[in-house]
Amino acid sequence: MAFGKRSKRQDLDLQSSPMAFKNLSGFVIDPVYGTENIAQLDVERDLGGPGEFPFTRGIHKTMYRGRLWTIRQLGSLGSSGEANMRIRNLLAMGATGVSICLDMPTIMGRDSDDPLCEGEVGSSGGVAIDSIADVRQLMDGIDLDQVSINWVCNAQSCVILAFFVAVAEERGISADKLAGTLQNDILKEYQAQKSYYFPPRSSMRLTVDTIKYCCRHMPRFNPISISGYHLASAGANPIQELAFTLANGFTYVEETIKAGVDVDQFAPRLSFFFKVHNDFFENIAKFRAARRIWARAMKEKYRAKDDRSWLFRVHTQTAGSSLTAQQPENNIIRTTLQALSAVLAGTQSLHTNAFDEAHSIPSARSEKLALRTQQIIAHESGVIHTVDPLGGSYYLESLTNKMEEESYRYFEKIEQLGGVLKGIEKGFFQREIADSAYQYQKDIENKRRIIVGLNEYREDGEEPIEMRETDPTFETRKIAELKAFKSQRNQQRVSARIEQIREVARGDGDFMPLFIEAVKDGLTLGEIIGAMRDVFGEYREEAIF
Amino acid sequence: MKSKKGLFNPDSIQEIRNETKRWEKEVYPREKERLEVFETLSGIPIEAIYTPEDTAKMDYLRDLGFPGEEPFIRGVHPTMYRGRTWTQRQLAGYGPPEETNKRYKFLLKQGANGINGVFDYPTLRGYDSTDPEAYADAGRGGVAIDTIEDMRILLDGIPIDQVSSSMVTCQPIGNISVQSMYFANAEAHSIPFNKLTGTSQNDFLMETVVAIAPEVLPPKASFKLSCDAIEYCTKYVPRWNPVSFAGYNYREAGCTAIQEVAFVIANAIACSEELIRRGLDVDRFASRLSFFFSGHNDFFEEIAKYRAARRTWYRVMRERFGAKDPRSLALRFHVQTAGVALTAQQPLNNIARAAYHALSAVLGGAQSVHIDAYDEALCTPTELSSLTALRTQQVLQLETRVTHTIDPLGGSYFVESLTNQLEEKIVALLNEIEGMGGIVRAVEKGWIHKAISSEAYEYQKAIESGEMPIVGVNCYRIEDEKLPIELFQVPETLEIQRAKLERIKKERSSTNVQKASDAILRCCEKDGNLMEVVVEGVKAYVTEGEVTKVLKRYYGIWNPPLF
Amino acid sequence: MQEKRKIRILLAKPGLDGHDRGIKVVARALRDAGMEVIYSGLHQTPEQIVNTALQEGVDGIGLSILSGAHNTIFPKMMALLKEKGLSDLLVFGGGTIPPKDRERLKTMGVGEIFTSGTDTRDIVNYIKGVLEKV
Repeated sequence: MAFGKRSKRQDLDLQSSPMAFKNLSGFVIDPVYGTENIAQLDVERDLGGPGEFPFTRGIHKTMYRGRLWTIRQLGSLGSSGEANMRIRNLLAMGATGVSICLDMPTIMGRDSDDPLCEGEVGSSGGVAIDSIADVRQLMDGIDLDQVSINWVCNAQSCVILAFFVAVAEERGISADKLAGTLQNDILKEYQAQKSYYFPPRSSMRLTVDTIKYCCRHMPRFNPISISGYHLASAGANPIQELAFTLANGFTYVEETIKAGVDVDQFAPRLSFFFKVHNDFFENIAKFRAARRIWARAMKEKYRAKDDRSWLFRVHTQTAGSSLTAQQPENNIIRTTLQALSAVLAGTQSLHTNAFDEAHSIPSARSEKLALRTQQIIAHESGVIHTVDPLGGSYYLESLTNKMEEESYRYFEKIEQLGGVLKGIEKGFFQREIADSAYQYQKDIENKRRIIVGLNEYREDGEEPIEMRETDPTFETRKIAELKAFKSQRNQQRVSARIEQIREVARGDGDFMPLFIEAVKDGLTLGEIIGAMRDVFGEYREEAIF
Repeated sequence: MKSKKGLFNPDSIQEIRNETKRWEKEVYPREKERLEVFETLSGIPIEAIYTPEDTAKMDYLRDLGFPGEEPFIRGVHPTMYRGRTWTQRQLAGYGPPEETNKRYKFLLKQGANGINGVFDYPTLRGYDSTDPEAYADAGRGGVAIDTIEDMRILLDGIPIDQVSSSMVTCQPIGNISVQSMYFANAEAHSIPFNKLTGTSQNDFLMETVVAIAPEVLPPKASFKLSCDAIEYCTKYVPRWNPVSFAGYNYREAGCTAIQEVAFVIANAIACSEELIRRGLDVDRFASRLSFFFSGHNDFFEEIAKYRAARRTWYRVMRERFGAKDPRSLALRFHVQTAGVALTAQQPLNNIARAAYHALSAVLGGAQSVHIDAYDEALCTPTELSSLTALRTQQVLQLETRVTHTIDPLGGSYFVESLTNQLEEKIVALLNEIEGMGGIVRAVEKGWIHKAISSEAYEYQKAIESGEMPIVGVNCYRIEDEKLPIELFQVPETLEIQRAKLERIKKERSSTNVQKASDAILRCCEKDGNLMEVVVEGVKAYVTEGEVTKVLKRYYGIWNPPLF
Repeated sequence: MQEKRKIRILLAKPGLDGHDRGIKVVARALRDAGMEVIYSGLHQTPEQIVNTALQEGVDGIGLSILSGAHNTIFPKMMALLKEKGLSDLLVFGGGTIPPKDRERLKTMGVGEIFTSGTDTRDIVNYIKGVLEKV
């Protein structure tokens, strides 16, 4: 513990990395923060108590003293049978909710036997869903009225929801008993994730349709999870993630109001999805600013009266894009710190990444470790004993204020473009995000940003870690299963349903009740999406880089 | 500088107070809480929410101020990690010095910026590797050192005039020899003493309280040896920290965060008084007293602890000793993540624990940090596990950006209020020890032993009852767990050490050895500074065990109370 | 002396996946390094990609695949190129591709596979190294 002498090596490190003291959003950070930095802060107005307007300190009165965040780990893998086992396993290990990811064909609204899907069935660790039979198997033995299920689906959300409701009804569980979330955030698909099929306005119509359905029939279900995570994964910096996500949220609010639904009927069911990246304090400030902006807008601009409409409720995932393929054990450290920041920020639920994700689909061991990380933070670190423990910190409060200000600046810009949908059509978001992604990469390459094991402290000749393989015979088996399923259907009813769907698409009626009946008749995901595609057409974006 | 300006104006505090009361009475009770009590690891109750009301009595300039200035609570340096980051000091030591030397070189090559030596049990307790009392532990838990020859091998090829060394010598009985060998070895390599930087642990509580073993030196004698080393370094090795008050180890033995800080400061007060009695000016040595804390599980309590320790030390040095040099007033500390918080079950979980233990140290403004390897509950760290620990430091330093501003939690209602409460309780405990006649007396009476062991017992009971959850131990267990990691095998040590000792004993001049031993005994008799004679002794190849024998012959032995 | 013709590279994203952060970053990096870059956009079939390559007269094709479909798509691409007499085109790829598969793809004639964490300058140097030698 010598303090006198500084070693040569350390001097070198600091001098060779021309890192400015900036955060990931590019704000300059001061050496020290004191009372003068938050002189304008009015505690009553800007912070409030927990569970009190504007909810900066947390949306619930007791927060984690009342109940822990939901530990929500990803549980899906290839076949619905395998995914089912994995979900049951996670629940048995203490997870309190699960997320289900889909394979690429399902995400793109196509069945496993579609020629375009060759080689991708069961890919990316997602589960392949073609028909009600798959969801039946996926949900087998799981208490649908007990467990909260997060469906990571977007453009095809309406069909997935229909499968889910239909399966529950078969088991005698009515839709109002089901808890969980649909991701169903189509705007960010155009901006970042790029899994869309229809033009933006048709997609928006489907999203609003599911929101309407859930408001009427599924009070425990969140029909949408408005996602900044994917914007950030595509390269958005934290301030862009914050501002764009909220702008998207406001757009859904406006569109749903336009569809004739009262704001207080659906706003309490809107939920959000954020990423926590490497910058510890910036993460926390982002959540606090989001809660405050959302509450103020919902109350003051959209005139929501129900206080539940003002709540920014958020699921969080640690940053997959911060993980390195090099020295994978280091990812355990990153994930821990990111998870801690999400908890200090007051998240409602959390997914922690497995340390081998930069290589492959997580192994059972790495997945367990990710779950344990949350349990350790929850039970051992003591950070959950008081609400918003960092509240009042000069640095954090000032960063929160700054993020709020910068968000308003982006909102103005988006307004000038004519709103989010116009912004998408003009490529505004795509360009902003691509700029940030390129900047990030440049920063790494010229070492303005250090990633341990990647551009500093590299090692040669690393041992590859164990990786899970996708079963190569899965695709053939899945296609055979689908064929068998199709052969048992009443073909006439299938054709009639397809025509009905086209009919509704041409008009402006509701889809959801029809979809639920259609999947009971055995319509597949690909058939339903296909029927709509016939009417809506396909969207292609201009490639911007 | 004393301003009357608080953190918030009194009117708004009154308003907040009223609002908080309303919220607590009318809103909060409508909801249910998960637990009956919410408290820190040391038992301080935690409120549901903290507001400006909780820090209403604080005066910004008096109680917080700026980094590098009184009361140093926001950090001991003006720039803190914006100027230079903490020293990443990873412990290493096992087997014979030949092996440990290789590990040091490996860690330095991987970016560590200091070496941190741990020593095996025989070395810590003053025995030679071959001693019948000790040989079974040779090379275990640290590196084996018997003579100056071992020190030469240990440091071979390491530029000790450039990198700093931390010598976890623990007990004064072992420190006096090992430290002497370090200095004598430097002299043999013609490195001037004023180029040497580093720290030795040298804490008499380590010998008399923490490492409970029979037949140790009596507390007074152990305390004297510790002070001799401090005095020696103050005079001759000006950039060496001759003592590191080992709160970490008290904590590992079971005490609370409050006791940890109170005991190290009480210890430092006793040393300061003794050195002043010997005629040294407080500002000559105080800046070289250093502290060693544990980074335990309770994230915020740990951060508050480091901050409270800085303010308490500042007030003690300023008010009690009248120190003037800012370096005497600023408490600098090393942190090691808590070994006791790690589990042998599901060892990779320890990576997660150690990561936030270390984060709390960094948010608390540590000067140097050691992060435990994930397999430490099972074995001596392997190369992979020690590398992962080092990488944790680097991820914190380079990726999280928590280093971009100083004392980032400063102002947090919770952290400030917890800091104030900890300081209050630390001061109360200091007063209690003072009332007993100081720390040496408190050790002799067995009071410290009792305080620590009853806390250790409480801790264990809390784990066993499930009141304190430990993942993988009392919850989320895996039955029949297969160990997913490879364990380290300690290399053969005893025979290597025996061969060296036999050779050295044959080759050295027995007349010189006899002369040196006599000189040590005479120094004891006239109560001189023992380090001055031991440094000469080790040059004549007197072994560590031989030095110990002389000291024990004169001072006798003490059996610490066992509770 | 004739002015040196710019290297022309087609970057394409086959399959259903839409994660285009990586390919867009690479596209900019190649452009900044003085190459002409044609980016196909999303959801391209191997047939479409090979046709574009023919029409644009490119020197090389880079495919980005993160979905795990690389073992299907690359062999198809290589077969199609051979069919059209374009076997000498440089083909490289990037994405989430395990080491074992990387080796297998290379024996099939794929020049290089770049995974997460690759420095874009390494990609630039690789392409220049191969194409400027010819």
